Amino acid sequence: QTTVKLGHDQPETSTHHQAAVKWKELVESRTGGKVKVQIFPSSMLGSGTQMVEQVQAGALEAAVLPTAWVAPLAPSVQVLDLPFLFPNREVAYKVVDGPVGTEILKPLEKVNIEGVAFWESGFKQFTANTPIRQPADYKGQKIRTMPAPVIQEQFKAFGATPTMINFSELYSALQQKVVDGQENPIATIASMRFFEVQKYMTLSDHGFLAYVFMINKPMLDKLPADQRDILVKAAREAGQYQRDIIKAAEAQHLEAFKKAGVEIMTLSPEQRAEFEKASRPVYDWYIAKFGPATVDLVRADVAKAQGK
Amino acid sequence: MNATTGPSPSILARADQVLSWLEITFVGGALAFASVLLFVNVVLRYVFLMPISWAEEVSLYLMVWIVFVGASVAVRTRGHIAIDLLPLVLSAANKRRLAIAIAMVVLVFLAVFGWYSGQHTLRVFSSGQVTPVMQAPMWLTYLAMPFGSALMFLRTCQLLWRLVRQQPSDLSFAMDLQD
Amino acid sequence: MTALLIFILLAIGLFSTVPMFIVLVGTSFIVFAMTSSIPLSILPQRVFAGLESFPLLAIPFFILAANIMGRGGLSARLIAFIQGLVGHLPGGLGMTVVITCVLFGAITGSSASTIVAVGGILYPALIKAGYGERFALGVVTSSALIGMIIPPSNAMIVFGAIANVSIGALFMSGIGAGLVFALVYAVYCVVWAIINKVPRSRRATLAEIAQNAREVVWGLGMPAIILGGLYGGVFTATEAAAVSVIYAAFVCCVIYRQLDLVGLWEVCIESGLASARILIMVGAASLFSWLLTVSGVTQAIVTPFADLRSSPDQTLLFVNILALIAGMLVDVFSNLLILVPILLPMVTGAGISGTHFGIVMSVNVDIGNITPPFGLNLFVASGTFDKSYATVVWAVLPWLVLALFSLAIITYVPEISLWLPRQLYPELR
Ligand code: NA
Ligand code: NA
Repeated sequence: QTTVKLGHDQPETSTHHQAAVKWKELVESRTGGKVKVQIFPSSMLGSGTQMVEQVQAGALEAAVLPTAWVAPLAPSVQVLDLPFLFPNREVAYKVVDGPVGTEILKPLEKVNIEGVAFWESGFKQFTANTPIRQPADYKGQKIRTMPAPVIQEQFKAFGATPTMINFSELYSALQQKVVDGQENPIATIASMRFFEVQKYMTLSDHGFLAYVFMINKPMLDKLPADQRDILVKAAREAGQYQRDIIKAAEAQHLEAFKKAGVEIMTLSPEQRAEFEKASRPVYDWYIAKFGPATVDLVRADVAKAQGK
Repeated sequence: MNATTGPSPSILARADQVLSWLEITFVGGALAFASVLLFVNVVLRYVFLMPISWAEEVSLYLMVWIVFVGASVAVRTRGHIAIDLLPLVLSAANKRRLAIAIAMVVLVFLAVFGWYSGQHTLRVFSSGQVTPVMQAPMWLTYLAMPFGSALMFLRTCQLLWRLVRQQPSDLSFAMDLQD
Repeated sequence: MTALLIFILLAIGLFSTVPMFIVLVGTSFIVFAMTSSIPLSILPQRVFAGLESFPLLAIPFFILAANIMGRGGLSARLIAFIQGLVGHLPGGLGMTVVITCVLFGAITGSSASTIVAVGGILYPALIKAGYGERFALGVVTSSALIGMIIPPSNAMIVFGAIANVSIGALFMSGIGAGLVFALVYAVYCVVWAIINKVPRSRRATLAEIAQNAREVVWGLGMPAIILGGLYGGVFTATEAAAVSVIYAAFVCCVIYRQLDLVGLWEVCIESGLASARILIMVGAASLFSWLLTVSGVTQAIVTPFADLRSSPDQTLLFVNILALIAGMLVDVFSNLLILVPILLPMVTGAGISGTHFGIVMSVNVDIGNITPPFGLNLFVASGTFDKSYATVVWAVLPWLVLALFSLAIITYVPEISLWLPRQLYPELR
């Protein structure tokens, strides 16, 4: 009998956790109980980077984490962080489920990790103390960013001052107006309760916050072929399950935001085009840094997915 | 002159002094630097809207280094936090025996901890992981652990040597400051 | 089995005066080597993880600021001023500690930094005023708890995120709960001072108070700048600590001229070393918490209780007992991460509101900071005031009893903490 520990960084109320439970059920029932799954939610086992290190070392058999934490090992995943890369959710799914997704996770194999599926936190949205409808609205604003260079470049391109605030200090920083705004998917804004301390929200769907489901490769390779298959396939199925439940969860969260007094706006196609235009320097920066190959690959795939 | 190094300062004693000086200079300097850095960052952000993106990260990892280098000083000055009830009921001779036994346990521990933290540092080194903001090599931050363990190992050997030879050990770092 | 092994190793290690960080890390190594196939090279990472936390960074800065204020004459002036105002009352200086902790708590979410910032100044003053080491250590180490109950509070942020409860409402409930704590502690200060006949200073004349005020005006600038900066959105709580270092150095070196560069340098070294002694414990305790989590020891202890069905009062009693036991062994965040998800269904089932549960849990895990064997405040006090760990624990005991009394009030008279959030968040029950 094998025990597989699965770590993730979201609370037990999240869709991530529900999908993790789904994975556990699928794996345990399909292997007839030969593989047992133990789930550690809420970063119980450590931060994102640390869980990745644990998977690498085999201390943790599996983890599902934002792409940001595997970026140092597989820089190509940062392509997914580019703003306004995907026109909508369906296209994003098609691209990451296809050969492009496999391609950008490939470098992980060299460091003992097998990236097997993409999960998600949904699309990132803007929130702020003033309405954000166009890039010019960001002028002179201090916006909290994650410590990822591409996100910093994004807000610089919009004319804002990207400001590093630790995630654990973000609620207080928004409340005390150390920063004026932030970006995160709806689920995160709900779970960290940022809607309590922000007045406006723009449904911009500007960045896909993908999660990578990763498994320690030596462990996976040691399993009998049928069990290996079950683990990998179940990860994809559980990811599909998360996609099914996340929409309902987001709709519910948005209702809660409205009730808390947040004014919610949606970008019109023209406004969206303006943001896309303003994002171009970010792509130039990315290509200058990492080369055009991955971006071109993704763009071609996006075009193909839209063409269908 | 450092009172504990004996009447004629040997090369070893001189090396000990230099090392002690380096340790405390690093600890004090890193803390002073981090304070100024974060303060300047606040001013730049609030007044000029130009924050230093790496200020938080540098301060954080400097703190990790302060902890492990400072821990070595604490071994020398016997400043580590311990539940110190047993020595109260022991005779002087037994107290010394206990201290020698503990020093040996500590040496074993530091060897093990140093070894495994070194392994982890090597793994991070070979994976090419970088820090989130500066994109600096991450292994440099983890290196504080094997490095600090080595320093503490050295300091514990020193302490053990003094205990065996029944010399008094350093109880403060203040003498280093007047050096 | 694992639990027994952990217990035996801890008992032997701690009793034989091995440095505590080595006991914690060593125990974890031995237990993992014997009971699991986890590669041991991952364990140092957990120590590192405990240290790699931005809010923790405030601790060395507050230690440094407090030491600068002590050496540079700022603290002395501040104390003279406070004593001029309340020193003639019984227990006046003790109450000063409590009140200062309330104010200080309003700028930081960490009770450890409150000890060094407030205690660094007032501990020497208490000794000088004749309160004795035990009382002085106790009041400083325990009053710092209030800092984490008064908003902002890191524990409440974590609770709100796990349990999906309004963090704003939790913050508001922290005001009432924090004041209960402060009141209980302040009353004890007065009673204790009367019983032990602590010498009362004579009442200062108005002229003296005015003179003191002129002297201290720069010192009072410190809380003004920090509170103003924090609520004015200039800096975060951690940055506030660094700003207070620079401000203290400026006042002591330039205005008072009581500290030269050599003195400042020595203070930097002293503070860095004190921080190292404290923070290495934090790193070690974080590995130890991880051991208890991964080996399932904490869950194994708690889970049997989670299925009990009982009245709200009994449920809250369970919550308190479990959280206090867990608080003896693990740090604040591990305590919340382990217990809240397990207890939440039981608490909701009993009809207790999330905010009420939140304030009870937050106060509880906060008290864990002063419960032996593993309490962050105990380590911090031992490191900051250079007192043995046993001395600190002995000093804190009466205050721990008072803390439990305050916890009982907060638990069973919820109106005190919930009144304010109910006014501001009408959707709360
Ligand atoms: Na607070
Ligand atoms: Na405790």
